[in-house]
Amino acid sequence: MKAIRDIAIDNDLLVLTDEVYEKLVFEAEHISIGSLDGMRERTITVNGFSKAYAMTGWRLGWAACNEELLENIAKIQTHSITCATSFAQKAGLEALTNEEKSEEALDFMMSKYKERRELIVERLNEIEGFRCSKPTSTFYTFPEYDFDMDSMDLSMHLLEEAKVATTPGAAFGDKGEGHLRLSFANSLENIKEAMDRIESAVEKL
Amino acid sequence: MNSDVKRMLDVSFSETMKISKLASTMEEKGKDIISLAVGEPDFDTPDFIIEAAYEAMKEGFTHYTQSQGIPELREAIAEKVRTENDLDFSSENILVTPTKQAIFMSVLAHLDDGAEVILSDPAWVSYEPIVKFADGIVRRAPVDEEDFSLDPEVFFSYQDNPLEFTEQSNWENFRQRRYESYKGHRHR
Repeated sequence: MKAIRDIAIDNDLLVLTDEVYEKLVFEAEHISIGSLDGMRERTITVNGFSKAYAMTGWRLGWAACNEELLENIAKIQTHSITCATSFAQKAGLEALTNEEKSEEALDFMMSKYKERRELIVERLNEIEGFRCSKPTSTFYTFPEYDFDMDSMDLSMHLLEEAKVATTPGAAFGDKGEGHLRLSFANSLENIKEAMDRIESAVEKL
Repeated sequence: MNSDVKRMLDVSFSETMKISKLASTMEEKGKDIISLAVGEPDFDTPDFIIEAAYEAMKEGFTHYTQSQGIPELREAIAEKVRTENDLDFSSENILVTPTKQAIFMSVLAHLDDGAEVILSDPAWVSYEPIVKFADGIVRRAPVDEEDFSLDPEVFFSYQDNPLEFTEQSNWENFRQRRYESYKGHRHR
C-alpha cells in the first residue's frame, strides 16, 4: 500500500478507495490508504452501511475527502439524488451510535460467515477441477477451475444442471476468466447442498 | 430514433445482476435454485436499526434533508473515520449518499475526458463502465492470483508506456474512430 502511495504522490494521482467491506475482515487488518502520509489531499474514501449492518436495500453510505475534492461531488448530488433518504439517515445514525447493539449484530454475522467460509473452501478444494484459496475478508470465494469452458458457460451450466447460481469470473475483468465467484452469504445448509450439486454437475465435464 | 449516444456505447448492464436475474426468473417458475451469486449479506437489517427509521418516519422525518446529509450523521461518520480509519476529517468532509452513487459521482466530478484510470484486474464490475461513461480510459493492472495484492511494478510499466495525445485533435480522432466502429452495431 505504501508503494501505491508513493506512485500516487510521485505522479500526482487521485486515489478512489471503496472500503465497504472494512468490517468483514477475518484475519487481516484493515488500513485506509487515505491515512498514509501525503494522501489526505488526494484520496476519496468511500464506505457505507450495506455490508457491515446488512442495509443493502437502504442505499446509504458516504464519501470522505478534503473539502476541495468534496465540493464538486456535492454539486452533482444537488442535481441528482438531492439527498440520501431522510429516515434511512436516521437509521444510519442509530447504527453508528448504538455501538453495543451494532457490535453484537456484527459479531453474530461474522461467526456465521466464518463457519460457512470453512465449509465452502474445504468442499471446493475437494471437488475435482476446482482450486480455492481461503479469503481473508468478505463473504466471497474466487476459485479457479480446470474445465475447458469459459466462466460464463460454466456459470450457465451450473445454473441449469445444478440449479446453483454463481457469478462468472470474467464479469470482473479478463483476469477473472477461469474463475467463478461464489458467495457464502447463504445458510450453511444451502451451501452444503450447493456444493453437493456442483460436484455432481461437474463430474460430467 | 437514434439511440447510439456516444457515452453509452461502452456501457452494458451489470454482469453480476444478469445471473441473479436469471436465477430469480427460474425460481419464480418453481425451480429450487440455491444462489451463491448474491453480493449482499443474507441477514436482515437488525431490528434496532429498523426501529430508528420507523420512529423517524412516524415523527414526520420524511422530507428533504440538507443535500450533504443531516449534521448528526455526518458528525457520527466523521467520528468513525477519525477513530477507526485514522482519517483526519470533520463533518464538513463527509457527503452522505449511497456508496455506489459516491463512486459514480466521484468519477464524474474528477475524471476529465480522456484521463486514464488504473484499475485492478479483476475488479468490481461497475468501475470500468463508470469510467467509460465519464469518457475516461481504463488501464487494467493484474493482481496476484493468490492473495489479490497489487504489484506496484505493474504501475511502473504504465509509466513507461503512457497513452499520449499530444494534440487535442488526436483525442477527438480517437473518440470519433471508436464511435464510427460502433455505429454499425446495435447491440446490448
